Amino acid sequence: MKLNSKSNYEHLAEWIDLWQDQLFRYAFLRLGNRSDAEDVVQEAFLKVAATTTTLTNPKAYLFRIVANRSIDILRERNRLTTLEERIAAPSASDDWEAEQEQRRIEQLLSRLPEQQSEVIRLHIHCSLKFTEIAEMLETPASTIKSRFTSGIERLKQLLIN
Amino acid sequence: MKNSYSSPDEQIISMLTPQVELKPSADMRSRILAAAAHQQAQQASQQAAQPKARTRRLSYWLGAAASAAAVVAIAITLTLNSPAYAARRYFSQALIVMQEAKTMVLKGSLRTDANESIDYINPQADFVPATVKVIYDDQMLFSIEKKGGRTVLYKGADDTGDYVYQWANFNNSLTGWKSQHAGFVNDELEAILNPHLLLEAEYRTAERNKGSNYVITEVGEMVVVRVSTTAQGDYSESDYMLNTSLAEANTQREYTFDKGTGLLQKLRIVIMIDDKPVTILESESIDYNVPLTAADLYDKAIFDSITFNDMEIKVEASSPLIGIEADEAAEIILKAMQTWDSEILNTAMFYFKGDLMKVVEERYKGVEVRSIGKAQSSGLYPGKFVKCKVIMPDGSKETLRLALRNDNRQGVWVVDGGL
Repeated sequence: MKLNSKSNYEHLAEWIDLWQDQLFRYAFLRLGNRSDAEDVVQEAFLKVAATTTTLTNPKAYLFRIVANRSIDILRERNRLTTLEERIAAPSASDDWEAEQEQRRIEQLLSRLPEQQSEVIRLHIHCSLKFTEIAEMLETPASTIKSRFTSGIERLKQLLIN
Repeated sequence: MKNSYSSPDEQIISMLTPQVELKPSADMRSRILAAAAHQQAQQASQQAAQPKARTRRLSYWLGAAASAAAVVAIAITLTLNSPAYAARRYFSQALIVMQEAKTMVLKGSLRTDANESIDYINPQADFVPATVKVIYDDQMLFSIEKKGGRTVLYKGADDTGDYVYQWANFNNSLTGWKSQHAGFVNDELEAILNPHLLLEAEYRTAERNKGSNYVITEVGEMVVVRVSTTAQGDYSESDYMLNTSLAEANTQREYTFDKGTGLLQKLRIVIMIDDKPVTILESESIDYNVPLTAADLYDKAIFDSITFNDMEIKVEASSPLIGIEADEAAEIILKAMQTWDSEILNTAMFYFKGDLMKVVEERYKGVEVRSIGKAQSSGLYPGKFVKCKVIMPDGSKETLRLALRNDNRQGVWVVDGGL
């Protein structure tokens, strides 16, 4: 995206329209519930908007924030597991099916090293190209592609062969 | 998504692809833009007048007036722009440390009528002092007392049974009820006056994050979490129940946590009436691990002086108050009052025992029905409201709004209020 002299705030509506769905899908499939996912996505957009420097690749920046923040939340959840388990009521959420899907997919991905599963998430769930993922993760595109194919191959061996 | 993977790859990719549509909430875009506008305004104000912004924040919490917009903007900055998540963090931290508490005593004030149900609020009423005592044991023992009025007590099981007791002071006489089903203490009531349960409820609300807004402000060693929620329930037929309980009101709830211990130190609940805030509940003190036994929860002399009526409704299946509509029930009940048909009224007026029943008989015996209106629902009330025009025994004309409910095991209509 070409940037002009407008502030990041002035770009915000456009960026939301372009990427909020992808970012939400990523965050939901990572975190497993709507409220956390929307919080994280909102936080990312506000952080990007507040940045005073010109962003050459706001999309990569947004995905990086959402990915990092999601990991923070997952870590914090692990710390609070006892409490979460204690007070978690049976899910009566409107997103029940989606939450089940998230659990199913995360169970599959949990069999892979994090580097491979992350590339798979970004490519399949967010429809990011390998070059975009490479830019986001600051890693060569060839490495990204290799992580993806290795991950798929590994799951194939585990689940099909 | 179309890819050129070989078949087994496609199978795996298909397994990794969500089979349901995942879309953000319809209002997420507008929420982000609104939050961004506040954030931008705050950034501008901080750049222009940093000391002034700080003074405004402090002055707000010291009680001076400050605009809601400014507070929201400040709070958003302070919470790293993830309000529901940040609020959940404070609620969960408090829950963790409060799990260690053995007892809790909350003293505060509630705008209510002292003798009305414990969960009844009345924005026009004066403050009534209230005390909550809780012992967190295998079973949670508790008492909730509105000074000079209604008390709810659970002191655990004993030789007489396992009851929740409640009593109120009508005409300087104590009327008591007991229930084996904790019927006096609904979830909302427990949540209102028991901070631990209230925080659990808030945690879940923040988790769902629907219809609530969160503002978090730091003041010295304290963190204040303010939750704003719109009234639950359906008021399309009648707004009679609007603002009669906290769940049925547009509320702001303020929790002050000690940053060091994570404990809840203060609680304030405000309801918004025509956009004007009215404080409904405010804690004066919350103390934890106060030496407290079951005997300290109530005054035994008072308790022993009360005859408690069992609240379990038992009627014959042939009762005329079963299997009919609420407006039909209202007519039957009022006509029974005309001749004071005890057989019907003992069932229909089940909640009106002892002296209370005598008061009703004195006032309504001989009443004549002029017309019965259509039954209406309001808010979260599980029963119906029926407007009835009557001629009182003294010849005066009155309009009653009977509250009738049949959410009991037998589905029998009983009078819950409105007399």
